Amino acid sequence: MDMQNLFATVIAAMTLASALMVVLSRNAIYAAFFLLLTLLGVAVEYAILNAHFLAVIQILVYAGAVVVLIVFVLMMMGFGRGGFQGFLPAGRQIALSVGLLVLLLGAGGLGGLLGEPLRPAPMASPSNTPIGQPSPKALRPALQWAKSPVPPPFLASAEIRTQPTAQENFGSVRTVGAYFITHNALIFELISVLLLMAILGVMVLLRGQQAAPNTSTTVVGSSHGASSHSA
Amino acid sequence: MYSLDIFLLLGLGLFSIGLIGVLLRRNALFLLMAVELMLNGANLILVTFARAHADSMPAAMAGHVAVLVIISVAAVEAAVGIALIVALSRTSQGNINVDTLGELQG
Repeated sequence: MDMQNLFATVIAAMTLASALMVVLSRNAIYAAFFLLLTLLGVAVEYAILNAHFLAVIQILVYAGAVVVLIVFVLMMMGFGRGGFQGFLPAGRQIALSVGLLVLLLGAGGLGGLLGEPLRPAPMASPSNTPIGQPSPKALRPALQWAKSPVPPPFLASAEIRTQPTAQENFGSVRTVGAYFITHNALIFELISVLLLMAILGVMVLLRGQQAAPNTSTTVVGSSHGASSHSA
Repeated sequence: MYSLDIFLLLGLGLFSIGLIGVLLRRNALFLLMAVELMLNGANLILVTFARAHADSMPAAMAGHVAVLVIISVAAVEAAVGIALIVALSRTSQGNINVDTLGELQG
C-alpha cells in the first residue's frame, strides 16, 4: 500500500467515524461540529482524487455557509439545549435494519468491483482534446451561439500562455468551468435562478412574523419585514 | 497507481449513515444534517468515477459538473429548510420534533 492510499484510508476512517457521531450525538452543537469534520474529510478526499476545484468549493459552500447557518440557528433558537428529542419510538430496529440493508446491498454491488479493483485512468493530455471546443453533438440547438469557430479569447490566451500538463488540467477551475459553460450552460443559468428563488423564499417565509418573547428577533429577513410593516 | 475502492466504500458508508440518521432522529435539524451526509456520499462516488475515467478528458468533467450542481442545490435546500424550521418553531413554541408536528397550522 503506497503512501497516497494509506493517507486516503486514514482520512476515510476519520470521516466515517465523525459521520457516525453526527447521527449519534445527543447535543446538536456537537453534531454540527462533527458534520463540519465530515465535510472537511470529504474535501480532502476530493483533493486526493485530483478534483481541486471541487475541494475548494466544498469547503467554501459547506464549511463557509451551511455549517455556519446551522450553528447560527442552533445558538439563536436554542435547539441544542433540549437537544436530544428522542429517537423514533419503537422504530429504532426498523431504521437500523433499513440502513444496514442498504449498506449490505451496496456492499454486494461493490463486491463485483472489489474483485477487480477500480483503477484511476491515466490522465489525457490536453493537446488531444481541446477544452473550449465541445463536440457539435453535445451542443443543444438553443445554444448555438456558444459554438463559434474561434475559441473565446480568455481560453485561447490561457492555452498559449501556459499549456498545462494533464495532471494540472484534470479538475482545475479552468477545465471544469469551460466544460460547464460550453456543455451545460442552461443548467448554469437555472442554478442562478434557483439561488434567487431561494433568497426570496427565505425572506417570504420569515417575513413579518411576531417572534416569541423568549427568542431573538434578529432573523434574516425578519427585520426587513418589520421595517416594511412599520413603513 | 492506487485503487479507488476506498472512495467508493466511503461514499457508501456516508450514504448509509445518513439514511440511518434520517430514519432514526426526530429532531428536524438532525434530519437536515443527515441529508447533507447522504448528498456527500453520492457526490464522492461521482467524483470517484470521474477520476476512474480521466482518460476521456472533457467528458470526464461531467461528473464534476454534476457535483457542482448538487452542491448548489444542497445549499439551497439547507437555507430553505432552516428557514422552514425557524418558522415552524415559532408557531409551535420551539417544538421541532417531526413526529408530533402532524397538523397544518400546527
